[in-house]
Amino acid sequence: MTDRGSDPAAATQAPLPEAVAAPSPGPAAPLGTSQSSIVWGQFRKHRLAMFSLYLMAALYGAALFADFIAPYGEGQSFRRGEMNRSYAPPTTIYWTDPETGRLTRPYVHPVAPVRDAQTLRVAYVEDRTRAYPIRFFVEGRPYVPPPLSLVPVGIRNALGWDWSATTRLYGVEFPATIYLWGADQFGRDVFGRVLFGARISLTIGILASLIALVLGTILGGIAGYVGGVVDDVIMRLVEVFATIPSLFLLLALRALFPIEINPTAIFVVLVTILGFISWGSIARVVRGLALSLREEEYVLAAKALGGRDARVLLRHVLPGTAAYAIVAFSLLIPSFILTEAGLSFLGLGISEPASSWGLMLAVAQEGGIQTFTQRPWMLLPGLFIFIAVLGFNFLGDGLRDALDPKLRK
Amino acid sequence: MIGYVVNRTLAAVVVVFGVSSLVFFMLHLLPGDAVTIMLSEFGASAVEEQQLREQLGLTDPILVQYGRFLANAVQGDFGTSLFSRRPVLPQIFEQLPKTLELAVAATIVGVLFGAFFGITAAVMRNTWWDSISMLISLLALSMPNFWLGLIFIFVFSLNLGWFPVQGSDTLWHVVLPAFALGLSFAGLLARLFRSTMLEVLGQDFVRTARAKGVAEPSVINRHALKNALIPIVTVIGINFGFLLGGSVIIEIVFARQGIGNLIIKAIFAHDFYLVQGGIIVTAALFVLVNLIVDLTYGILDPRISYA
Repeated sequence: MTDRGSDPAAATQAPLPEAVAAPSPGPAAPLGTSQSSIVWGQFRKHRLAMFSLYLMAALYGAALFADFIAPYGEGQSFRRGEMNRSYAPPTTIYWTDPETGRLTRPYVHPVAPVRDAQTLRVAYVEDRTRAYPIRFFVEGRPYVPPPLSLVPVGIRNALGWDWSATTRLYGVEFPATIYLWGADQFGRDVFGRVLFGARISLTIGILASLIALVLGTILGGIAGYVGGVVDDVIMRLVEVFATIPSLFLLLALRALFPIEINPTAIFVVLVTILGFISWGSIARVVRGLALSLREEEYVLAAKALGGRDARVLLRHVLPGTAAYAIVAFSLLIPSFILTEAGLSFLGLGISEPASSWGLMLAVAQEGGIQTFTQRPWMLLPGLFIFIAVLGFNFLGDGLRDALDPKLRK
Repeated sequence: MIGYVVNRTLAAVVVVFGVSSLVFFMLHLLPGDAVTIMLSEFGASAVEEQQLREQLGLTDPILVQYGRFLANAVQGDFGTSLFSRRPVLPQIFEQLPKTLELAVAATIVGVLFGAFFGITAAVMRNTWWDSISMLISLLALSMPNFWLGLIFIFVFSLNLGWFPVQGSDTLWHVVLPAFALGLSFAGLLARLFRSTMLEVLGQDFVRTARAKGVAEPSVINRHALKNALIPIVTVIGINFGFLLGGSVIIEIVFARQGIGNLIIKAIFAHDFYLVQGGIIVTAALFVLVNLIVDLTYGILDPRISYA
């Protein structure tokens, strides 16, 4: 931003969005530091932001490799007869040999559901006579390995790509089961479903923010650059959108779709709605900057040279607003994660059999709030919402500081 | 002054009109229409569907429907609930006090905690306390309020038994929901308080007070704080929507009565008129709060002129 007036060519040749989206230290450039390496250098000084960057990278990695890390498939349930594991508590892992008391390879005891005759509640009793060691790189249910899993199912089928993998990081042999963080109502592994849920919870915010970024930048840019009636109309629209608390707007739009709707469709619907109702904050920022940028000499020069309005706007005005738009963008992501979680919690967002953190929390309340002291592990997904939102907030803070030339030392 | 009041009131009316129109067109123009969705879950025939459409006046051109909607809305008629067969507006007003109770209680929690952390952080700027309070405020801001609500129920109601688990009958019932909702609001306010306070502390009159030899506590309390407190009213107004939105989920978590609970139930029952009315009333409430804020601002800060 500092060289905006003096060196417009650099600003247009190296558009900021890319520079910020994929910051890379690269080889040291002693002569003339590029905008991206200045920003990256600043960003690296923000310790909490750097920590969040690693943390979020780990979360995204875990989401991508969820099939490998989780011992069971996303929908794999244990709910019948002897194999009923509904609300089974976290499995105890034993490290010592009961006879010698020495360290041994970790093992678990199988559990059996026992119904209490009086309370009718199911308790899980360990069978201490049998031990099953935890094995690594075991065979499990087949799954589509990443990066192939990123390709939509339709395209995969059309191209005949149907490779699958069966190796999972850890597991125990049947009839023993291993639940690091307990099981949910259908006897599904909460740990695994937190990882699977991360896929939805962590992408929905970014995709929706991208829609808001594109809409906000274009509409805000047009409002500021063209001005007059166009400006008035767009900004009044922003005001009206800002007047309805966004959750209510979201609920109104959500009411237009059936309650029971398949997870993929609702994912698309949520991303679109979130993006379409939230571009206002970005539009405001971009418009303010565009108003001043359109008077800059390099913009006037571009116009004088015969540049069409669309070209001048896209090549000369909008790149100058990128830094601020990106900060606004990064601060939208955490709010979207919270909104998605809230909607899914209410039963209006992602629905079974897919998993999302908000949906998993809704189950905590299911079957009467009184009983949920018996399964505190069902509250764990909330911790991940918290961590993800906090991580993105720190990233946004770091980005804002890094992009603000006034704070540079 | 009177001119200003009239202007602001008219602007507020225009915004409410805009919001109502937006909600109306959103609910009527988008492909998924009320009747289709309603009947797809009850399994009605095409004839029945047509009958219901005619009965509700949905076969008329959209602009005719819009005109009728506006004419009725002005008279306070937002239609009849498809489910309970009662007019929408009284149902909403019945639930309003409980939601306001929660919003006000959460505001109090938010302002108390937000002011404490924000102002002390600004006064002790760049110290460990500043960093800690800003970290705490960001933690509070990032906490999903319904998760916090569940944890509160878990710890304070079920384990310790200090508070009732759910419901909204007594004032005692509002404590946990108000904290669940108000703490993230406090996080937001703390950051705003800190920046306003820092701004005021950097102003000439503060320097003058210090130059005169006024003791530091007195500089903070009598000179800076008073001026920093003025913007708080605006901040509360602007973020009232944040509280209204949050109250929806909190009402569900704590099984409280209120507008949020009403709207969610209406959505599940496909009660379109109730959803529409509920959202318009909420938005109008939000506009009203901000109007009051705008008007009282001049009283609080005599420097503002309404020329």
